[in-house]
Amino acid sequence: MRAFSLFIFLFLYLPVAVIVVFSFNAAPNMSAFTGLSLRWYAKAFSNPLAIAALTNSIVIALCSAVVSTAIGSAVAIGLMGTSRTTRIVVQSLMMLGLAVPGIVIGLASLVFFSAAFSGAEQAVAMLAGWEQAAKLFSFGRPTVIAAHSLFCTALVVEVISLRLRQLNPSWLEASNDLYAGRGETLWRVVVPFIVPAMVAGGLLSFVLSFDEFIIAFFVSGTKPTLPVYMFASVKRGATPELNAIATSMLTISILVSVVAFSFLRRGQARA
Amino acid sequence: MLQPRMARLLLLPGYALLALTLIGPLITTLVISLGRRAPSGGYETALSIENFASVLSRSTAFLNTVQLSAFGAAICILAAIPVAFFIAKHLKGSVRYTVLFLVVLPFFTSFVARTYAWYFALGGRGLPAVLEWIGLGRFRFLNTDFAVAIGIIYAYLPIAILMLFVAFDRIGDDLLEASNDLGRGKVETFFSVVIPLAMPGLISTYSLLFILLSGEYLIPMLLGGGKVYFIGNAIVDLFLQSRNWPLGSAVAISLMSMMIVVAFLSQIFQRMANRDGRIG
Amino acid sequence: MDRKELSVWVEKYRRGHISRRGFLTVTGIGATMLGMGIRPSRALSQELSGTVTLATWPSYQNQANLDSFTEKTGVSVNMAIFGSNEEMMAKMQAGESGFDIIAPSQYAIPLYASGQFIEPLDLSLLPNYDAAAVEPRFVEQGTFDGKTYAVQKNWGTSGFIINTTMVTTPFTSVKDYFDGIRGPYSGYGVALDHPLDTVGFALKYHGYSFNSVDEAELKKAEELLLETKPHLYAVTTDFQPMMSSGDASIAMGWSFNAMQLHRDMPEIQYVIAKEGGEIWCDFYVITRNGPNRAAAYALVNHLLDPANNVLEFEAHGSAISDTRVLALLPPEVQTDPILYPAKELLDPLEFGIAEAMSNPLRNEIMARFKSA
Repeated sequence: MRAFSLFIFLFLYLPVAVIVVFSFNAAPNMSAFTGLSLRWYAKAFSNPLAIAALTNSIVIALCSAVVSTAIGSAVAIGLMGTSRTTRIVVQSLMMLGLAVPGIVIGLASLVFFSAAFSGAEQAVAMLAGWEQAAKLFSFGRPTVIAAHSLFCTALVVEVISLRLRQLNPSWLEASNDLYAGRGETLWRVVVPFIVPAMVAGGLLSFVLSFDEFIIAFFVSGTKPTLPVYMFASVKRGATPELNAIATSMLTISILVSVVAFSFLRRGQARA
Repeated sequence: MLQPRMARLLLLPGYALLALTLIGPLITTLVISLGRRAPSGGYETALSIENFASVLSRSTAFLNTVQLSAFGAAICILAAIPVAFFIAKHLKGSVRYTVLFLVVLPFFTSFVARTYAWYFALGGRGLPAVLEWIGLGRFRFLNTDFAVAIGIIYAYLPIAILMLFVAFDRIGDDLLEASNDLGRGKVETFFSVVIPLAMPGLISTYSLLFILLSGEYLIPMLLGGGKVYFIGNAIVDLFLQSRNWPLGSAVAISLMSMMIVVAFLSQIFQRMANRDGRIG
Repeated sequence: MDRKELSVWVEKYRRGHISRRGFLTVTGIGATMLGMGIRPSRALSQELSGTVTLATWPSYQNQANLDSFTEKTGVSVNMAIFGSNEEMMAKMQAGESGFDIIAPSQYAIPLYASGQFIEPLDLSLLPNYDAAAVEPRFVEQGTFDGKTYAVQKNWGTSGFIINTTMVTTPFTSVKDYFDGIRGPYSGYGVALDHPLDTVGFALKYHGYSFNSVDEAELKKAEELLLETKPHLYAVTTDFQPMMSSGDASIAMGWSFNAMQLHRDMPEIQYVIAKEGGEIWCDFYVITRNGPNRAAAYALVNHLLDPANNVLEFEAHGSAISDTRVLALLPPEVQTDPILYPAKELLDPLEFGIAEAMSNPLRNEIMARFKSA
């Protein structure tokens, strides 16, 4: 079993090794390793498009993580106090949000949002008495964050609900006896209890949003995210520059993960 | 334990998000699926269910997807069982969480880049060159079902390991010891105690993997090179290449219906397994 | 422009929704001023501001030109990268309106123009464009309904890319491609994941037009494609790694792919089929509702400056037809067989057309070919 597990680990890390090794390759393509070089890093970091896309992705992933952790925690706690029907409906919709193919949600969101935007613009123009509606809304980071928050929130609700099932109801009773308001129970007992799950959910959201391609392709407006940029580049002949970008992404992910995990474990130790 | 008014208040942002990013787009998809492809591509208003009849034209892709997803999910589970069991029952304390973290770590890198790394690893200068050098003969992996299966297993194995870890972790050590005391060997204990108890977890993991895999299109695109064609690829092509959005929407709705059926069946089987587990 | 429309624009200008330059452009006052000999150039170019967004293909622009534009005008340039004309059009059709300039191929232009996505160009704002310096056949492709909608960026061809160490029999035709793949090179051929070219070449095999939408002819093309499918190594546009690793030996592809592969590996060569194939041309067009129309004109004009266009050539490596640019390039460029093929090879080539791109049957054939 130990040997098999080791083999699985090799399998999991093989592509990562390929990416990292070839990001330091001097050759102009990936057909052979000819020597060490940092030229692809130099090229990637002097490419304003790649840098802009990377920044864009980081900002979007951070915001998606924060938004979906906040909404997801509220929903998971809220579900404890609603009727069975409401709970089933909300949980099924959240599952659907996870299962619906990205291409569908991506294109449909673009169509739906642009219709909604022009409707809102018309309404504003009518209220303000303008003769022609002005362009007020456009696609960009907020639309990607909103669209990504759907599947991220669904995941956060799942993770936090699992944690809440372990919450001992007698604690809540004790707390209700101790403090006056139930709001206070929520704040002093429930929220601290789910902090590790919130961190885990937020971390997973960050990673999923950072990686997401097809929804971002549609609703990112004129500023591509990193996966969108990389995917378009790959379609017209890849360069090892992509490996340098991927290795940089890997490093960022590891740093974020290590920080978040150490936070998570400290939270658990306290709980 | 939570005031209904407070609960409603907490659910409000969730409702807003669902309305804006799920219900709205889904209704849009439904409307598009009932329309007609405009002569220059895209969508034109109409009211017909013709597109749903044309879904059958993508049946080969449907079949491909179901086969490879069923197979891929099974392999994922089989590969994940020993690893998850090892982590859950043989590792203790912080080592255990560190190992779990290492399982997830590659999962936290770019999906496009990882899949693209397999493209090179399985290409002529990668694994086949190594095998030829060892003297095992000439192999070609890229653009085959095998390559796509590898990509799929790779991408979804960490999820399988995590979910099965939770399933095995719940089984008490005392149960395993009791079984051993009854004179059952380790292997026998595993098959007669562990597997039945973990059955609901195995079923829910399998169905989740199957659902996620059947919506996959990037892996078949990069590693299947147009030789392996999933229903996800058919949908992407309908939206982005032939720009027949109504048919694309109809195919997507059919796919989602299939996913919902799978999720429903999985619930039933899980309940059955739960009951059996209790009786056994 | 009638009085009512003008009053709307005046109102917009007053409220600051469009810049002064944009206002002058839209209302035609700018053109009138030019006609009267009033040149708004220096004073007005300082009016440019904000960001201009260009939707183009990967590795297709020279960053130095974009930087110099920003330096000159203060307008920052944003680029969105697409993998294909079809993807770009899908996004525009779904309602994206944030692009100022896009770089479509000729067959997409009539669809954008008839769909009201782009506008006839105000050539007075593009003094660097000289239609007389560009080959008439390319100028014609940028015209729709008698109006100029597009100015030429660069052009190229679709053909076959072969590795001569692996393909040892003579290779000159579409017949050699399909017969070779179904014969000695089975398992080593690549077709493009692009309906226009793949279906087009299958039509050429039978001697039909590259752009045919005739049902009977398309049926024969489909039969050929389905017969060829099991022998193919891949159907993709991302075949360069397969060619350089030796996994594939024959690929249907574009001239810029061939240039890149040939530069790294001289044994890889480019063949324009003697029966014909496709000649294509990419253009700059300006969107009708783009957010920064004035800057869009200024940027296109900047890129068309012959000296800057030389830098563009260095970045994208595709043929440019503008004689003023050719005069500045080293003479061997014009005799490069991949970039500027001989006239007798070019003559049978056809421009891909909009009807072929959007024809439902051709797209369905491609779907059946891929799922086979």
